[in-house]
Amino acid sequence: MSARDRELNAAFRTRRSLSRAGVYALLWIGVVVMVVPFVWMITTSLKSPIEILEFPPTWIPTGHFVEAAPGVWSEVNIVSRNAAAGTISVRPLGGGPETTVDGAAVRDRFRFRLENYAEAWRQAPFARYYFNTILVTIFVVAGVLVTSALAAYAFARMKFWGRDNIFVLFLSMMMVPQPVYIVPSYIILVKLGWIDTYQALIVPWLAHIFSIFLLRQHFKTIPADLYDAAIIDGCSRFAFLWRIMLPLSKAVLVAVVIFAVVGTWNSFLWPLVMTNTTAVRPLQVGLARFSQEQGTNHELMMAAATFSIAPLIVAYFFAQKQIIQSLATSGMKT
Amino acid sequence: MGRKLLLVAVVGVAAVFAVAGCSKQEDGDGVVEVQFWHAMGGPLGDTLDGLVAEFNETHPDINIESVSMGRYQALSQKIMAAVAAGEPPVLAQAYEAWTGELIENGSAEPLDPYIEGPNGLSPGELADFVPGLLENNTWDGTIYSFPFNKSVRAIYWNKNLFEAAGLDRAPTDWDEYGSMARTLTRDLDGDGETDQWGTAGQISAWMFENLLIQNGGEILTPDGARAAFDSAEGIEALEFMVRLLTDYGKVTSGYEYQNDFQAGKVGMIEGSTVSLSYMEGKYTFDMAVAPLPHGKERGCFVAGTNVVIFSEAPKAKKDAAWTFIKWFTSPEVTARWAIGTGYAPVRMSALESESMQARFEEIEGLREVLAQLEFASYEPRSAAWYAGRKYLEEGGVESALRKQKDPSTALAEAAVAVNAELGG
Amino acid sequence: MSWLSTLRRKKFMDPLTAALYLVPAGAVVVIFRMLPIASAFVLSFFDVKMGRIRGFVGLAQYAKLLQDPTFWSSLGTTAYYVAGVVPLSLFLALLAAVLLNQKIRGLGFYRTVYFLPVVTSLVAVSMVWKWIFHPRLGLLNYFFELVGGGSLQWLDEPRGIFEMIAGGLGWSWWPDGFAGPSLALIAVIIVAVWRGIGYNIVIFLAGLQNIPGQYYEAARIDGASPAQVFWKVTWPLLSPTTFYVLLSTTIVSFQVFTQIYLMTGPPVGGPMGTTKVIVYYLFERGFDAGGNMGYASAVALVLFVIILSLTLIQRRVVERRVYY
Repeated sequence: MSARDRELNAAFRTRRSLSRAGVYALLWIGVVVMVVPFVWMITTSLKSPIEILEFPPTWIPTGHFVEAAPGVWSEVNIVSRNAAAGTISVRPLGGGPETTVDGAAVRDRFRFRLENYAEAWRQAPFARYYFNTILVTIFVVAGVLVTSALAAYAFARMKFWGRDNIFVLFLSMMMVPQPVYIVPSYIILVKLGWIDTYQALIVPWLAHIFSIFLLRQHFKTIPADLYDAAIIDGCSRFAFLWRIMLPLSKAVLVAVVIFAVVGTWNSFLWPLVMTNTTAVRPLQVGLARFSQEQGTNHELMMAAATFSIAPLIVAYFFAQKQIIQSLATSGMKT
Repeated sequence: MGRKLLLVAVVGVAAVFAVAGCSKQEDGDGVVEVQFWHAMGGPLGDTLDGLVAEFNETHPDINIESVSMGRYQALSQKIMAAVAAGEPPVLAQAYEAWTGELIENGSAEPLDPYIEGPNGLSPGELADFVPGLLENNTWDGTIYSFPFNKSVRAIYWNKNLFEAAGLDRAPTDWDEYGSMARTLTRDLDGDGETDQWGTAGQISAWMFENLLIQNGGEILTPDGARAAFDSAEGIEALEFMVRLLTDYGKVTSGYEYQNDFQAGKVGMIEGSTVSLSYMEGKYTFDMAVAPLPHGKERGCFVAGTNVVIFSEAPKAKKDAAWTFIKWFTSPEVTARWAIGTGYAPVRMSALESESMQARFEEIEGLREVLAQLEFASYEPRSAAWYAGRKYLEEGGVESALRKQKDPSTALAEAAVAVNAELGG
Repeated sequence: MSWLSTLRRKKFMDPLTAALYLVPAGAVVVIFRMLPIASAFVLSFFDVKMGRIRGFVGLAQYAKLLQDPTFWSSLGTTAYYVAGVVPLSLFLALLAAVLLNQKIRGLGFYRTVYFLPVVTSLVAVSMVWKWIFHPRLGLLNYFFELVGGGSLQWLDEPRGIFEMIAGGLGWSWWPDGFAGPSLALIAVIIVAVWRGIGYNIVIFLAGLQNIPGQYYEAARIDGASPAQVFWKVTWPLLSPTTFYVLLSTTIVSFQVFTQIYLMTGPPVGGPMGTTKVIVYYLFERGFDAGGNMGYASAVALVLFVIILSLTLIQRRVVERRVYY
């Protein structure tokens, strides 16, 4: 390689690495945009109601302290700052007389107000909301697994009149969005006497058509010879499904569970319409009601938002690969 | 793995069934369950829940279940859907306009039999209610609802900022309202931008309506058939409101103006007496309240809802609901409700009670604010006005405050929309 | 032993057994999908006030719908929303996917982060963004002020953005009807893009990874520039994916409800009704005071027809295979 060649190559590589730096810069801008709202949520959730009103905002929650007695620092709110005199007027956190102290006497320290979480948790029956959501999720997941496996097996392996037409009819139901049938669904649940019950949140969601579709496609890939052999061995149809098909469908079943969990945990319009009381109100509706009630208590709202999304976010970090893949194949934008 | 997953699921379902088999409380042991739907959140909800718990304790045969629907719009949606379903609660907060619709549907229980019944109220007790309140809950001579959470508007003022501006009291008339707001609007650091405002508010038909009657105007014609707010008095009132909130103040979203006031950036705000409970402990200056300044005359509207009992409920539950209403509006309880929330007590004797007197000592000006009840008036109650009101708020007040239209055009256009609603 | 096998196979044809397996899912689908969908159709011909059917009105409610200014404005608002979310989301997702497809380090990390909002509940997302958009204390205006921009009213701003831009350029006059979507609606659009982009990135990335390497090899040998490679190789071969993302994002966007319900107003749909989308209008008509479930069903049917047409277009085009 001549010197000139080497020079050209080096220049090319610099340009390449420059453009690579550009790629990373863009990707990091994306990361910041995606993450900052979460950081802001958590930061806000740890602030005092007065710190919320400070502008420009602080990124790390900070409290102001003065030494009330030697070695005893008590937290204060700043009423005003007198820049000329170098003094600060402060008032104790719980209320009390205003005092003016030297500017240097006020120390700022990080102060994470975890008590906001307890306060938000106390102000609304979040424990009940959590229980309701978990309960409904468990039922829906279990139910969807059972109904999908059975239906998919029938569609994949059995021969009966009109099978393919029925299957297409099922699939066509996926094209109808929920808002279209929410009003008549309400009337149907009224007729069943199910408004404001767990049934209203569970039973209508016990069949997930896309899960049936996915399982059917998978069952079809399991060779026909396999079950011929099993049948000859005297295996019943159900036993074949139970002992052979399902163990071979692990990945698909996991996907089905993920659709059901994410879909149920985050669903909103349906439970908003179908529930009234806190006895059955799920977490998302409870959170929405909470935010409507709070008005301007941003720190409590952010604390509630944080603990409401925490379980799914934690699950996501543990099983992100499966979750991303499953949701991406489902076409489900929750 | 797949099989195990399924097995775990089935076992899980069975286990949960066993644990949570009893999802809804049924009436047992002779305890009457009464569902009460309301829209009281935050500190109001806390106070209400506290009183409900106390009632349940002192009335072992009744259990009031307090259910918050977050806010009025959501409450209205829930009530109407539940009535449509034939399954309303036993008791709910309701605006007069909702009650009107419920009466039409046969869902609102007439309360006169309860008032006159053995567990009723004596004429003396009825006379103790704040004048006008019961009349406003009467339709064609029948009382269908009972006053529950009633409030009036007040001026909240930051005494420190007033003092710094050389002012020593709240405004008493419109001229002072405007001039004090102007004085309080300041550029403190001299960068050419305002950083302290005289006043602040949200887009609210309520504020406009109060100014309107202070200026001698009316919302609707006396027969309630047409809009009357687009009169010369109305235009003048809206012009005044626009000047106040945009020249010497600012318009914020929702209740954020309270936050600005709490942060010491605003000299005074108009708010409901209930704002007190939301602001409690969140400001670091000396605050006082004052009655609304008067224009050509004094005037203020009573806001807030009443409670209705639904006819669909069984008799025992309706009786229990009435017992709760009677207890809740008794002088002692309504005074505590007032102290906890800032709502006006519904009984005159409650205003004289020791606890209210102590509260008046605590909050400077509160006595004068509640005295506005004596001359207070009420909004039109028809469902058509309730539906039409949003045109006044969005089309009229909002477009004027955002300076998209001048006040006379805004009100004229709103009047056309409201008339369409009233006519159809 | 073939006779035995045949016997067993015959049993497989037993429709009764199949029915047994289909009943659990089938019952739910029939009662909670087919029945309500059919009912929505039927209800739209009836006057239903407070749960009571007050009479058959034929097409009257559809006729009323055509005259209903709120219906048309909600449809227009929804169209603005879709027209905002879809191109923005597609462009940014494709950009991110192309960048991620550069054999970069830490692909998993970026993908995980971008996908994070997808698993976050929309209720929480709406609350957090409403706070970010806060006119005085919000993060966004803080950033704007840091870079020297003025602060905006975001969710409280009913003025159309075209009108605002024109105003910013010093034009005081702007034709009525061309004001564009309100800034409040733009704020809602931003949230939708932020929330859903991770999903589209993952789909695009899968599409990009399915493009056979030999095409790129051939392009490189021909000395094509990166831009040429993108437009001549990547873009046409990615078109089925792009089309899928386009349609699915459009269909989902037409159904926007939660963000509107939680971020706008009160009253919901504000300021000045500029964020009242069709699904919220349906909800309000169906369940609020003065509502009519029959009328709401008529609105639902219109929504259904729109979404159905989009789905059928998708079917048609995807079946033809989109290699332009």
